[in-house]
Amino acid sequence: MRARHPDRQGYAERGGVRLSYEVFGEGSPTLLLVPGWTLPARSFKAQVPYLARHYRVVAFDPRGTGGSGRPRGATHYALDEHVADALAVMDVTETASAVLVGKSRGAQTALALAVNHPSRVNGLVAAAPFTPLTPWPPLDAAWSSFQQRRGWRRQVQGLGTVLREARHVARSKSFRLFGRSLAPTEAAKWFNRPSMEADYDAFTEWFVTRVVVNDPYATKQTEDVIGWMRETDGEAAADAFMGDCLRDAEETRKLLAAIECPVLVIHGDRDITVPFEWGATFAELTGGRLVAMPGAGHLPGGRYPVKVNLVLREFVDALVSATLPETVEAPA
Amino acid sequence: MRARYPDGEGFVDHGDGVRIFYEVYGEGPDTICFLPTWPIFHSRTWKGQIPYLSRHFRVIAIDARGNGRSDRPREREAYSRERHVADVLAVLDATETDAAMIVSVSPRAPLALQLCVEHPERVRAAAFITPQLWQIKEFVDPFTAGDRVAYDGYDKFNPRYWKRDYAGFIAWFANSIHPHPHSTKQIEDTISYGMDTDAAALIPATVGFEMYERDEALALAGQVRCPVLVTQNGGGAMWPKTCSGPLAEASGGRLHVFDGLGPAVGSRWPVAMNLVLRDFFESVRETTADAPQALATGGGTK
Repeated sequence: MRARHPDRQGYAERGGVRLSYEVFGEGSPTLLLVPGWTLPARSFKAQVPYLARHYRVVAFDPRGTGGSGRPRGATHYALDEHVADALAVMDVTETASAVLVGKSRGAQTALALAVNHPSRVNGLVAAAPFTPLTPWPPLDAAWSSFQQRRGWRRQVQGLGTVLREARHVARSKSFRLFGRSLAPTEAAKWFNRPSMEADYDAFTEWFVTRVVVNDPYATKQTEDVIGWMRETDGEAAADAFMGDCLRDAEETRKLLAAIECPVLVIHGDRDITVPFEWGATFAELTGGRLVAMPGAGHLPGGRYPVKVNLVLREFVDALVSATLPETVEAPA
Repeated sequence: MRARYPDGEGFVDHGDGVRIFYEVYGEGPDTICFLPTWPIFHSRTWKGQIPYLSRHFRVIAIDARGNGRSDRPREREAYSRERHVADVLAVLDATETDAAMIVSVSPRAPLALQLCVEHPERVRAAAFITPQLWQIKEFVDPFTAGDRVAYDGYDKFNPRYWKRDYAGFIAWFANSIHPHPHSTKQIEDTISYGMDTDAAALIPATVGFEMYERDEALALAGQVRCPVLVTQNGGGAMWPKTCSGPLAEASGGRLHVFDGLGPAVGSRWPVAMNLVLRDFFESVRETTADAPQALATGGGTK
């Protein structure tokens, strides 16, 4: 059962990888929803029914998730691939340009797409953007354990990175939150390829209950996210995580500096998956609007849909009225 | 933090020294009054209904004697049905409400029924949510079972257990009326309402409030002249469903069954409950517009 069923669904295809997409409504402009790591389009289920009453909404399952293909090997999950996938979905749905709504890792795709294909993008919404801008020890530990071979020595090195960097960022609010809810050793133990591949069910349960959904009264959201993550498998999840995505602040800053379209950032101030500082800096560097969600964790769109939906609508409506003169001239 | 704050609030005391608290939301000629509940709850239990309904109607919510911001007398006489009727009338007077559309829940259905029958000029319509009008075996048996070594499940519906472990009873009750997954907030809320009072108030409130005999209740229901809505939860064993059908039939009211939802529909599925309540009260609003004329020409009994 869904609150709103798609008016059209289908597949785009790129290099033998099929990409499942859904189209809702027929308003204007079009919103392209880009989900986060291991999550399918359904992860926007609390946004789609509302937004589709006002706009045309296109949502797709990124490669490795939902009804899309699961190519093997991290190279298939490079940022360029994700961007090309999003463009392919826009093409097949005859979407000349769209407002991009990227959540978590999906914000990277949206950002790169907006920089490299500005004519296809009217605006950019980054929800809890997974775009590295300040040191984030838990993640650095995960990356170092990914880049190296399995084995206790490497694990210990990963842990060392955590402890070394922890000293530098110990004063950040996000890290204090993280430290209070999760020991870095626990994060290092779980967040690596062997753990994902050995028992993906156990990994998803740990990841969602301990890291992603830390909001109170969110049992349904927790079950939903675990269920969506389990539509894929540990190998695809690890490949997608390792894929050549944004890793360092310099590269991220370069992309942000090149953004010309209007930007909205939505970020929970209790997010321990992606530090709030990343979202705040994202907004600052793009001159965008930052909407901090007090008390919210990593996925405010699921736990506080009304607030998020109203903020999204306000942003899109402002875009529409700002571009109104152009629309009037367009027929000529 | 609340989704909607009251526009007015106050206390009434109709002479027995017990202060009764009420809140008023919104404005307009059509007033919905949420009646006092069994004081394991207080008026915040309507928080899923008030913000929505007060956009369309004026809404009054009353804290029952025994909980919320009302006083907590410890004598059973203070909880008689008659005193509850006086509480409601005093609040209607204090808020300058000539007549209200009333909403009762479960074991406070007799209060609504008495208001309908004895004060028909103050009641424009009555919604009975999961009504319980007469005593039923499922509650009487454990309640009168005396002391036990251990209290399991429904055994906890026993005043001796409440005295021994009130928090244990409240926790069991809150979980029992919210058996569905994803009810953690509703369970916590229900526990907080229950823990706002204590066994020394809840016991006299439970034994002091007179229920009807079945035949008496149905005979009175036949005398009700205002529009009636009876809602019945379709899930959960906690609240018995034996009164709903007979009450709807005897009063000529509408019966709405929430298929698969419940027991606590209003808190766990507020949208479902709100739409049914609004639909009913809107129909009353429309009929009442023509009412003066109809009364003038028709008169007499239905």
